[in-house]
Amino acid sequence: MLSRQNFILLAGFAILFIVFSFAIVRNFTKRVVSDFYHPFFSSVEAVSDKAASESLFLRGKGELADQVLKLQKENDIMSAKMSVLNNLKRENIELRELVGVGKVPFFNCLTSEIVRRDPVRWYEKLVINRGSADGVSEGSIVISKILRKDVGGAAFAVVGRIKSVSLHESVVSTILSDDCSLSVMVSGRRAHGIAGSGRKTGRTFTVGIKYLPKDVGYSSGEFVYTSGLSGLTPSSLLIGKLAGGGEGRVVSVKDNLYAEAGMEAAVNFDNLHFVLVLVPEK
Amino acid sequence: MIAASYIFIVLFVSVMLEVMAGSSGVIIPLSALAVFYFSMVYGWRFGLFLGFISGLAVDMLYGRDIPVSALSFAAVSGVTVFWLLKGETKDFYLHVVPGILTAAIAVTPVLLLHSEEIAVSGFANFAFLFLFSVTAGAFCLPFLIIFLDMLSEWLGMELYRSARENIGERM
Repeated sequence: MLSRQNFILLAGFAILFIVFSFAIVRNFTKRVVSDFYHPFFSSVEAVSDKAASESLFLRGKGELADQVLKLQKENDIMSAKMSVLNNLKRENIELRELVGVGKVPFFNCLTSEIVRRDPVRWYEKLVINRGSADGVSEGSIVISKILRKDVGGAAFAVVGRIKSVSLHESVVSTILSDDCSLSVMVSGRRAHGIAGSGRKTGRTFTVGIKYLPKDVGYSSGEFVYTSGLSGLTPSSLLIGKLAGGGEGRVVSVKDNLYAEAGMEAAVNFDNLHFVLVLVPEK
Repeated sequence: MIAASYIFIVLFVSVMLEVMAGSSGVIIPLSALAVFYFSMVYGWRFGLFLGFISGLAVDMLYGRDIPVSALSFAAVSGVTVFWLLKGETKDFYLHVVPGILTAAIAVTPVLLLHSEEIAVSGFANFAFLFLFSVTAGAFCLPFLIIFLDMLSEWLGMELYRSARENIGERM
């Protein structure tokens, strides 16, 4: 039998060994644990969804029939728009082939629900109920529906990027996280930079943009979009708009090499429940 | 075998409930409290192992990169040693003290490690998470002990309230 001192020493060494070798087995452990728990978490979600859908029975038949008609009309409009877009897409592919330019990657949208959030990294990490079995891969872009006040309608904005994937679940690093970097473009100036890492200031979420060209004039309120330079990220997805800095300056020049700016994120990370994952079309 | 299944189910459920509560933005350190209970009943060495496993499960479910809960939950078995030597196992209200200690030990390392990220949402959130988890620990532990002792009695297993009677085996 081991004495207490030997046991403590042994346990200490075992813990140190596990901690230092953990990086190697981390992804494997994450996959095993999240897939093991997945059926239990999803059954809880299924029960709450079922309860929510049951509440539809409380509504009157007339009200439901009106909603069905309205949705049918919307569906018809969407189908028509979709068919136009499909024609444009086909035309685009053909023209690119004729000119000899490489294909632009097209993306499929996967709807997913946020199933877990870490209370200590509330705005930085999300766990969603889509995994490699659904075609999600590391680096895929995650977007969410927002209400654009300037346009007066719904739009989509970037939430973050998939950081790790298990069979049925994925961890999303939001644009406020240090793990998530995105190549971005300031709309008016066509200036490229790298966005990532931010904080909540009051009610808004501010994300930093680095490596912007320093000799360009920027103004606050200019929209920032994804540049699409990476094959995993479509271009022209809204991320936010440039925020005004101190003393009326929008950017600050670093080491006389590049400019840094703050961007107000378009997504409200307080009200996220459903997101869309953009998966490259095969 | 029954004891192993019982421990597994209790820890499994406590981890799940803790993570579900966490997804609502609060920390209720149920698994650390369950680890404290089992450490008292089956000894701190066993608690060390259970703490590591359940902490690892919590870390992985939250998608954390550093398994800090695995270490802090394992450290909860230290509270067991203190409570076996200095404390009391039969007084309901006195269990507020190990509840606070267990919650503080389980939560403080995670909060400190992620203090920079918590700063994203402001210091008030940091204080709220800590105070809520400590209060939840103080409130939940006495009830958890009663509930698990009832289950253990029904299953014919060792009880928490008689932990100090077998102190020699547990140290």
